[in-house]
Amino acid sequence: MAGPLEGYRVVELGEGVAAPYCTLELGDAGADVIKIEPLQGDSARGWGPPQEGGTSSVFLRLNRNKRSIALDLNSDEGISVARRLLAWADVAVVDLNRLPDPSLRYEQAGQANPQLVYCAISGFGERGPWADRPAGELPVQLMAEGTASLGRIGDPPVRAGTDIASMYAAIYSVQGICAALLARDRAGGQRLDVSLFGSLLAMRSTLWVALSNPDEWWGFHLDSYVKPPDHGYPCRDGRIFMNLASMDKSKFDSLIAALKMEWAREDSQFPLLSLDSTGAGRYAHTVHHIWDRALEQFTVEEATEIVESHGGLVFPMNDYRMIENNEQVRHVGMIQPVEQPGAGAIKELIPPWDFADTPCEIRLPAPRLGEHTAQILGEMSYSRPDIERLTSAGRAAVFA
Amino acid sequence: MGGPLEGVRVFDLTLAMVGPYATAQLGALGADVLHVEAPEETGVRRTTVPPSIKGTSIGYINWNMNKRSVFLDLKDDADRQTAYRLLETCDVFVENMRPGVAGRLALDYETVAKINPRIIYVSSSGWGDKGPMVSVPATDGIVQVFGGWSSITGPEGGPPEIYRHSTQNDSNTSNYIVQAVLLALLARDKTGRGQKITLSMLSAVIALQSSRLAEFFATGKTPSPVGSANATVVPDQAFLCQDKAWVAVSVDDERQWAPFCRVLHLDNLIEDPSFRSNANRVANRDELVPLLEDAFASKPRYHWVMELNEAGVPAGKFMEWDEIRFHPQVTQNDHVIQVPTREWGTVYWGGPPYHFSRSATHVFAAPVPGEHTDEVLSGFRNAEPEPASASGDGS
Repeated sequence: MAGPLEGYRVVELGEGVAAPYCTLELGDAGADVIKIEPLQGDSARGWGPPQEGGTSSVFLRLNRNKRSIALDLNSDEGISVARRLLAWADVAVVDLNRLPDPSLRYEQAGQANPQLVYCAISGFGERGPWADRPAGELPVQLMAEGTASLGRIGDPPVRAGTDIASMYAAIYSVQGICAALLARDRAGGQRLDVSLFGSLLAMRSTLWVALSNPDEWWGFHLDSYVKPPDHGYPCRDGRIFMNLASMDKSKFDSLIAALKMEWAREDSQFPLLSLDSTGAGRYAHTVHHIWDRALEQFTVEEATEIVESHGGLVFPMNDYRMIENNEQVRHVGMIQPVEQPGAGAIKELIPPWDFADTPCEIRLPAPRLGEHTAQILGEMSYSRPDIERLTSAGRAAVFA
Repeated sequence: MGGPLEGVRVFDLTLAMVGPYATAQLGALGADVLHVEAPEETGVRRTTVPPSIKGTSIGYINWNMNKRSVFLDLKDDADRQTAYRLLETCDVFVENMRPGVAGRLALDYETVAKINPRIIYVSSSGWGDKGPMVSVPATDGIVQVFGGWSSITGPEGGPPEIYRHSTQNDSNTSNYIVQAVLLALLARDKTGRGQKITLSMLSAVIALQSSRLAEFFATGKTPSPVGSANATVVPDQAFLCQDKAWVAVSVDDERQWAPFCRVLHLDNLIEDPSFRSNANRVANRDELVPLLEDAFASKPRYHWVMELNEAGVPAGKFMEWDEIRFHPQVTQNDHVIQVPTREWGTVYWGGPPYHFSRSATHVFAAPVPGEHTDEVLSGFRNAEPEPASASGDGS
């Protein structure tokens, strides 16, 4: 068996990040993923620069292991093909806020195909006053108070640098779809709803428990609201994360000497230094300026050696080049070159799970727009004349 | 209708957040999750990671919902035999200890699979199970900075910034664990057999950054923080409004550009060759953004949020906890729910993020540690000789 989802057919009707990353994972797990695109293509194709081979690099990394069928979703015939695709699929993943036609909703798709698992991704949730509100990553990050974990009140908001709301929605969708497939023998097909807003709120759940009448209003989680921005500690040639919680207290004075920071004893905050004063510790922000000034004198390598020899922990704050060249990352595996038509060999990330018996692989590069239209129509038993008629009339399209 | 994982039993040998939060989600899906821990394990249960509610760390409460708790001392021979008998009835085994520890407890995959070849065995670690960092501690904060997530986050121009709610990489890893379990259960439907799946916090944080790593792979240039903005889409950032409040706006779809311009009364920009397509706007952002900033500064935030959303352009503002937890969008969709607990009062919890039209999800309070030991193990322990009766009841 190739991947765990070998033999399952998935149809995607979505754009951007959330629905595409969901079906990318299903494709990585071995499913046959068919991406329905409008004639102008997934809007993500136009993101960037950078682009590779004329298509956005981001699009390429969110759409491997899929085939593409391009349809005129403003026409009855194009919609009719889309309906037949849903009738033919085991799983549908749709952007609920951008469905091109009501006949593609679950009410009809589920009637035509009672075994269909229909995953609807929305911005804010399928019920309530915002059921139709347009979805966007940054608005959701603010509305789920995600930006409270970054920046400072009164300053411009800072966003999480990767699309967490969209990615979390995609990842949860994969879970929900697999669960529904497991239930299918007993329950038949069904609909499941996932939203960007709900997903980010779920991921911040630890805070909701922390806000439910804690014994004291401080601590690792609640402090995230009141602490200033943390940029790690600056060394001469890079930044580090440092945590001294595991250091034996008896080594403290030796550490102060080794870091040539006897001057710090004059600082009124010095007594806090030997307490929970590093990383996310209780007093870390109060004494940050002291550690900053001390560590600035050393290179990352020197600081690491000194702190680790005293029993503390140091990690470099890596950028992407450092990660790619890192020995541990090479052991775990990260990159696989994939032949991308028009762009040559491009670097892709390997799937994050390692299944011993049903391995997950990158089998297909991201598709060109409409690349597989004729092939898919043929598999659906459209006749040659019908395929010719659809493509020549522009209801379906194969773009060279 | 029960949950999708009704009838699935999980031997949950997990600790801290990564493992337990994954199995809590399996519990919400209807699995019978048995959280196995040593009787003297204090760790996250106690006040080591504040805050706490009635003395129990909120982390423990959050991450151990929807399961039963069983005390077993796996270093004790009799308890280990009991565990083996319990494993015969289980479908899933999850552990997130340091590589090698499961083996020293004689609960490595080979041993477990011999007892029960149908078991899905998921092993999660910080850095993977081989390589120079195998024995190095991994926490959310560490993985965040080592895995590059901080390098792309922060104010415009840097420096890199740490996401202060330091649980996202733990829970992100949990989510990939849940996926692995569900996928393996589907594979088992076809093959009749279980298998081992491994993953790590390192792989999970890298996967989460797929779209940003794309930029690096294409150009060889390391991306840096851009505040609220987006390196590959313009405009997609926060703007300051007339009332000194921020609005987040996202034009990530070409179809939104014209409506966006009309709402801002900047119709002349719609067909401007410098801004007509996203590629143009990215190339000319230094020219475009100041024009937009001026426009946004001319009206208060509510105007922009309402008008843009009506025009189909995503726009939103920061919401605080009190706005969130009472908002009908949140309550009607159960995005945040209230869970009654015996020990800690009613707690808010992020509700299961998927709503099924037919299957149920099942959320219930975290157990008191060891609470279900007798209930679960009574059929699995060796029969012990009855002690001589001390009660004088004649038996």
